[in-house]
Amino acid sequence: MIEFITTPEFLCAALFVSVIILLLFGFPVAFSLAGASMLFAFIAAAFGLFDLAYISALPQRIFSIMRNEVLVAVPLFVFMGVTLEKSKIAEELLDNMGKLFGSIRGGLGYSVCIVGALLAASTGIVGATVVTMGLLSLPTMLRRGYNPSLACGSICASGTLGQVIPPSIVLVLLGDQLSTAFQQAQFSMGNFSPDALSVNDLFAGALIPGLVLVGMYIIYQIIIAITRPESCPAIPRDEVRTEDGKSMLRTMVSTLFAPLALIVAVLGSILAGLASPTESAAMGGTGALMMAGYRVAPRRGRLIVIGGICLAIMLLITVLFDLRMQRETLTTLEWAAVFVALVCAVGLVLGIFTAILRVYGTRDQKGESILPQIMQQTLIVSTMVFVILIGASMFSLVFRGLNGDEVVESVLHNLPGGTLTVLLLIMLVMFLLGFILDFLEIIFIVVPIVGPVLLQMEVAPGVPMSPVWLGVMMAVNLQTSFLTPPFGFSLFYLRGVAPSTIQTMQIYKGVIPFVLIQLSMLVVLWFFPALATWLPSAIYGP
Amino acid sequence: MNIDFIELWHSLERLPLLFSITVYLLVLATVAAFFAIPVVLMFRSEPHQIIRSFHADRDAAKSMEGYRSVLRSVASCLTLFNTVIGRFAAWLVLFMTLMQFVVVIMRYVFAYGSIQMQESIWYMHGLLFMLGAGYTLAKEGHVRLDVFYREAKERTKAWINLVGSSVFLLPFCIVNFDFAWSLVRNSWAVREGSTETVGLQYIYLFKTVILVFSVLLVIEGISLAIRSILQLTAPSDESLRQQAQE
Repeated sequence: MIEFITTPEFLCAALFVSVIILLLFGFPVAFSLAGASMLFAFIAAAFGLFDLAYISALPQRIFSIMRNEVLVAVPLFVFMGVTLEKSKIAEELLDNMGKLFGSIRGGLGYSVCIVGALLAASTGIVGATVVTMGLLSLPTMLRRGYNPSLACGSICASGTLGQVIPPSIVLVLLGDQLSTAFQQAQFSMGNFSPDALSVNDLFAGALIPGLVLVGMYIIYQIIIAITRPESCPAIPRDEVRTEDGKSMLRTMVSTLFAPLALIVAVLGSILAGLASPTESAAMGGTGALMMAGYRVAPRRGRLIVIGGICLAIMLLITVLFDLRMQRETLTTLEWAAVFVALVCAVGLVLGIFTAILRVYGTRDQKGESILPQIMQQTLIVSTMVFVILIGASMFSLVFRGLNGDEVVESVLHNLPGGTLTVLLLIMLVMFLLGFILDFLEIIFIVVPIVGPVLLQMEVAPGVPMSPVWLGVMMAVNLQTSFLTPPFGFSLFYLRGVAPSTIQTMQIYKGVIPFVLIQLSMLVVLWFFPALATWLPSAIYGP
Repeated sequence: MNIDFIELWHSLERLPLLFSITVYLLVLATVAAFFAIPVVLMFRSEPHQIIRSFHADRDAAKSMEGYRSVLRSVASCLTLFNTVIGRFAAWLVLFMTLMQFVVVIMRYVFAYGSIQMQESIWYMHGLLFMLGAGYTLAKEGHVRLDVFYREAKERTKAWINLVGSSVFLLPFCIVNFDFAWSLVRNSWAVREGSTETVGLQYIYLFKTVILVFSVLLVIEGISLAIRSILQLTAPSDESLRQQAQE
């Protein structure tokens, strides 16, 4: 008996299970993870089964989180998302998209899908997105006579979809964890000059599957609109067209085009390899700030518009001329270009400062300025993410100290059936964990443990597993888990904000078709990995 | 007067120990006082009052209320401290975004890069969440697995928070402080700077933030524990009604 208890296999399983059980009590995840694994380590150390030197590396881990260049993208993306939300740009986007598509049958559903895919990306917390979308669009859809099941299903599905579509912070974090795992895998296979996996690769890899999923959601809704027209009626045309065409066009451009352009620009610059995620996140954050400044006081926004134009001119000049200033000789034309660029820079700075002042001067219903609120919200979300990462580092240090990585490796290698069984098993475990843990915890706990082992396996003889493909599979799998009744996360959150007239069974019924779509996506990804791996290799080379 | 600096330096090694002892004493004192007060009151009151719940006794309730209000103000002072720090730290978000924006523009438009500016962004990033940890706890921003927690009664929630903060949070912070101490001390000893010669040479200050992180979380953890105790010992509705009748 004693021999059995002291085997690393038992200890690792005990650690995993006890931590999960302690997490369920509801004390904040970050501290439960850190505290429970630490206590476990101390108890094990008291019996001579654990070397405390392992967890003394924790401060070094914390420090590496503090100066990790990739992770800087997280607060910046969160800032972008919160700015769009608090300045009501996201709300208007949903509203106008509804107006645009509303007169088509099922149109509100399509706009929920599209907006969810675009805007949900920047928060990274499943709950927050579903709650926002549920509060904003569920009442409208119900008022317009949508079938409650259909409305709830599409909101849940679109709210979680944002996690899979770049630029989402979940993909940033997943990419960061996977790249470490990928390096370890290559080291243990004897490759000491490993290929790097960047967040850009993962963004590019997730784009096509994400868009396909949006497409399938919309196709499903179109089918419903044709077969059961009464479940998603159109808004009568005369109700939509309250304004004349010209002013309608203007609202469309300012509220629909601008945020879309921002997101496309951010995503485009990453995919084109022009900028790192951190850099485009900063561009996105500043862009969102300028848009928010214009949105809160359009009549006084001239300077902000000028700032935006200056930015465009600067970028244009950069493309046309060589502006490097630390050179010996510059032609007169180049000097002129440098001068114009500098003038534009001044205009841009003025524009940004005006935007900050405008946002600072805007007050919400309670009479508080929204700029501090945006910053505090960003601080809270990013702190939440990183402190969980710290807690998970403690867990993985303890796990490693108990020889957990060797245990996992030997267990996975001894499974019958090769890669497919291993992958199915891990996907199943992640799927089940998805019922109780959020995206972040699963990524931080599971990927460091199984990633290095999985990435050493071959999908087909001679073909190593692609980390991009694995990341996309994990993301889609987790998203499915969050949708699956009766435990899926997003269903709970929607239940919390849905009016009491909606029965829980209606939500479950509505979401099942979307779960089926997700599952078929996983199958398709297994048989056609190119769906995920083609774009990154096409852009960045193999 | 001769001060042995080396001796002083070595005596600093004992600081984490002092820190943990202080924290333990604070927590113990709070908990012990709470269970001691009713006992003291019991010895001072008449036998028939002992039989009744001490909440129902007017004097006892009064002195309890005085004691509770002291604790309440201690908890809100601690939280206020973290709130002030969090609100200041939140400005880093804006500065960080703008600084990164400037770096991008300078790099892509003027092909000019500054390592110091780049490193200052890392510093702000690190400071942001290390200083914000306590504030986030105060604002209930750290996610919980609320499958059970959401449905639980207020009293159960208070128990979870009390046990969680004293069993998970505080020991974690203390151990982290202890481990980080040698890291930070070594870093100070050599005035550790950037790996780049032209970078910001303040890594030793940056590393110190790990200690600050622990302290801020301990402060907020104690505040959370006190608030849970207050909730657990809150006079029940019935005893309040009895008081009103008397």
